[in-house]
Amino acid sequence: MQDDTFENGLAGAPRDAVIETCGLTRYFGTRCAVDSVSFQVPRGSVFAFIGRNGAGKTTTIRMILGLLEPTRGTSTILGHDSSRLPPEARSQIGYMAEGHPVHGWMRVSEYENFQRGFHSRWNREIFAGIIDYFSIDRRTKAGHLSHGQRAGLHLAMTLAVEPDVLMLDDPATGLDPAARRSLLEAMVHFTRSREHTIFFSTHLLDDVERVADHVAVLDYSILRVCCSADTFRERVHKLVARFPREPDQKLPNIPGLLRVTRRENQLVLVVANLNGRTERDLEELGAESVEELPISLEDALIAHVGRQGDKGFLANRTGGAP
Amino acid sequence: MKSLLWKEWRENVKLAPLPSILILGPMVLTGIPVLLDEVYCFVVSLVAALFGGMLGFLQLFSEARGDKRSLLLHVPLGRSRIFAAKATAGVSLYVLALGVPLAFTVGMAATPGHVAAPFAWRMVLPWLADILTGLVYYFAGMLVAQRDTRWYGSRCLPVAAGLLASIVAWTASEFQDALLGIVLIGAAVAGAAWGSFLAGGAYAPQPRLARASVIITLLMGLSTLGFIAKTTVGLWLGVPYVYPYELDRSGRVLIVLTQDEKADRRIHKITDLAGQMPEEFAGQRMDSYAINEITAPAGIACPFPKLQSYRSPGRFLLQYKNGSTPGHEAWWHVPPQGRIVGYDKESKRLLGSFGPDGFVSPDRRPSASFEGDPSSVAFFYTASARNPLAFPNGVYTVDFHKGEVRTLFVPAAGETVEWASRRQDEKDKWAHFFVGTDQASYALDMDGSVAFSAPLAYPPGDYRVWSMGRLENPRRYWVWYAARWHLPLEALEELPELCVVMYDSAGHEIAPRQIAQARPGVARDTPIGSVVVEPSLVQAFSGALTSPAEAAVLMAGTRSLESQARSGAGSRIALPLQFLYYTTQAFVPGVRWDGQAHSGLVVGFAGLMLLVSVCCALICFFLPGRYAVSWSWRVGWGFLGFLFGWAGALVMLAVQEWPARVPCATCGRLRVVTREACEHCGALHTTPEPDGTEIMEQTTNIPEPAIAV
Repeated sequence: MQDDTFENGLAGAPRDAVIETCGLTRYFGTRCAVDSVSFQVPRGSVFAFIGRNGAGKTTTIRMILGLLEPTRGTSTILGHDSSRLPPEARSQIGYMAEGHPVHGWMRVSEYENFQRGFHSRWNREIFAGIIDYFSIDRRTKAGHLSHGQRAGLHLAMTLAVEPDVLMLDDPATGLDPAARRSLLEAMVHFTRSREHTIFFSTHLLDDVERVADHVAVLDYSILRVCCSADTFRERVHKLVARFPREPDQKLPNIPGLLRVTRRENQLVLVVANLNGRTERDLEELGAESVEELPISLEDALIAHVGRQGDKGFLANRTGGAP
Repeated sequence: MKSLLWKEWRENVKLAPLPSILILGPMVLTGIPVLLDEVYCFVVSLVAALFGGMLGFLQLFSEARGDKRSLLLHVPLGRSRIFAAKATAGVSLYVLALGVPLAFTVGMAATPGHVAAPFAWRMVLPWLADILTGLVYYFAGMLVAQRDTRWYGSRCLPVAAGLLASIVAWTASEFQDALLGIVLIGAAVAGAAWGSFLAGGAYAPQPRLARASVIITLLMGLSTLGFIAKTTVGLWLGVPYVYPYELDRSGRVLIVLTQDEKADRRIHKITDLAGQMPEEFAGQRMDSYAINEITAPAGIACPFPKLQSYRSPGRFLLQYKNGSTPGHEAWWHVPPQGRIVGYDKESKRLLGSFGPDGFVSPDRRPSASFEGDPSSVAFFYTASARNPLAFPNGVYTVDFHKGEVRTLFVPAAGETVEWASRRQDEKDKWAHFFVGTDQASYALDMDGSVAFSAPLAYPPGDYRVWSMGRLENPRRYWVWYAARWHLPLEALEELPELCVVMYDSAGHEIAPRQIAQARPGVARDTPIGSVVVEPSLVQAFSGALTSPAEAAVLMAGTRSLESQARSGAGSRIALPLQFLYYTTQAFVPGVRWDGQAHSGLVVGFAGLMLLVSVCCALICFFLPGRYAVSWSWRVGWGFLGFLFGWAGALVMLAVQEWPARVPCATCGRLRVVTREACEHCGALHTTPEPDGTEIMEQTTNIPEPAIAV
């Protein structure tokens, strides 16, 4: 469920695109990390970019920011070609890199001065507020900060420039639950203005459910999902098929099958783009009943993201739990 | 940009004391050195190279990849400005780090009482050249840190380009030549570092100028490594040149052929000039010690031309000592001042100076000065005055104990002294000063009276006096002539290798002259007596590893410098020429031997060189074609492969992008992934095959782009 503090008054209203990619592709040697990815990020949205480790999320973010040359394809951000992003456009983009790398020798106070030197716009109150929230001593060297405090320092530096677009690459990695919650609240607060946009990649799907209004799923270099969160919920279904006895090993080819789990005489299927055929296929297989159950956004995303290797008629490897 | 400058400085300033520690630290034990001391110059060169390379590498390496690079590039500054900030901070830090020990050492050397030697400001130039060379290594370090390639491949090659800069700095004739070389090489490496920084280590996205710089840098590196390897292997495998002639105490020229396998240099064969073995040697075990016993004692002339090098001490100070020099004193002839100055080695204080009129105390200068340069022995980076001191207008000895200068010989009007040496023979109990002028040779008794003189027996333009001496029973004098080194090789094939002229005690020539005809096709010695190798198959096979461009540059450079030396009648030799003689003769045919005498080796070298170049050109042209490289680039690579042979081919392999290839959905042939359209059928890339799980929705008011399915 989304956080109640988040306003979502945009459903159904198309907006202009802050970020647009067209056929974006990147190879590392012979390995395709991002394959013909095309999507648009609406202005003012909280856009969650999801995928498993190694799916190509960071690579895509770097190409959008012009930090990595694509093998093929194009992308724009704030109306500028990513490969030729001018400095003034960069100053409008806040970027938090994965892992929150720091110069260990630099003190927090020095970090503020260092970053402030690059930007004409710098909000000292925002910086100070976030630093204080994360209980960071300004005299501490960045290398001596905890993982969560490093994330807080990065968040402070990113938000202090009051960017129009936030690009966050797995921002909550390594944060404790309280820090994650604070980070999400900051993100929510940031997008109160319709002109601010957040694009973030994450593994933590409960965060997605809480704040995101758009989702995209990268399935090992291929974009499989790009839609609003509501549309995603509508299009992913959870079905339970009950059989009189243990169902056959071989399952028919079900279009849109994301995940199937066996539980005694039941099959639990998560299917995208249900069109009625699936229920008929299951009944032909011998199912006594096919019931649709509610599914959370998180579970739907897990099914979509984690389906590789899970797809198919699986023996229950853990001994019963789906 | 100020923020970035501050950050770079702050991050790396902790490294700044390192050069001071490494350069000044040993001085705690050794004292302040003479600035031209070759060991210290080498230390400075090494420290500058290592520090520069390390600084450039560390500045970029931690931010060359991943998220740190992303954060660096995301600052609102152009990438060129980011690089400029890093380079500015790095260069200024480097200049400070090396400048401190330089300033300290120069300050101490220039201040009396710290160095037992004279000081001249131009003596700083070698140190300056080495420190500037370190900047080439700095940018090379940046390039090594940045390039997106394997460590064991071409990634470390830029360091070899720095090595080329060091070679230039150490072998240039004058400082401005060294500076020009350093600037040109440094500009290429810096341009390559800039371009690689812009493109994150990739090659194709770099600006055109940067791409050219990368190619030039890698070519320089490969060529330098190849040059060093070929020189090393060529000298190791080559047959060393041997000058086999000796004069025995009976006045007979012997040809002594040695075997070098054993430590005592066992004699292989001894004959006279007619090829007959002297009867007295038959059945005897002859070795180098035995040869020394029978060899006539000789006063060696000064065959060495003056070495033209800003690093040679000879133009600033020549160490001078003889049997009367006290062990705790160091004496130097200072050519610009025309006097000999002395220092106490312990206290470093000035003891006084000598002029032609004798000794004066430190607070005074001699009333007269020695005019011109004395004959000296110079070998690369060392030089010393000979004893006695032979100036163009006189020969002198110095008695340091008595504080006296004795004029031994004054040439006649219009005559110029070229060399002088001292020799005594314990066996026959004689001692002479031998003096050579541009017109005659003299033997002087110890009191300076002329015991023997004879005009030059051969044209001085073609021959020089190699040595002269005295024989007994009956007393005779002999003068040994050798062809001048700077003559064209074709001429040296015609001129005799040696001519020994014998005179009686009255100075009349005793016929016949002993003449050794030139051995056809053998190597000819270089003027400063370094290793020379004979013609061999090694040089022919080296053609496979030598490119046309390299051969052209080396041969043209050598011939040009030889031409300059000939214009000075061989009295001077530029250090680059000596260096080229030493190195190129190991793997290039015809450097120090007549190519016409061994035309097979020359043809073999040229043939292999062209064969390999053509093969490399074909590889460079056809291989990129499989990866949809444009026609113009393929022609360019082919040209590079032909000009630079294996080095050009390797550079192409190192920098050319080799994109992945996938089967085309339309024509089925392999197509590169970097192009939108198939290079065979023109079909666009297809989107990935849908599997039914896609959920796509228009989220903006901008139409979805048309994508081929």
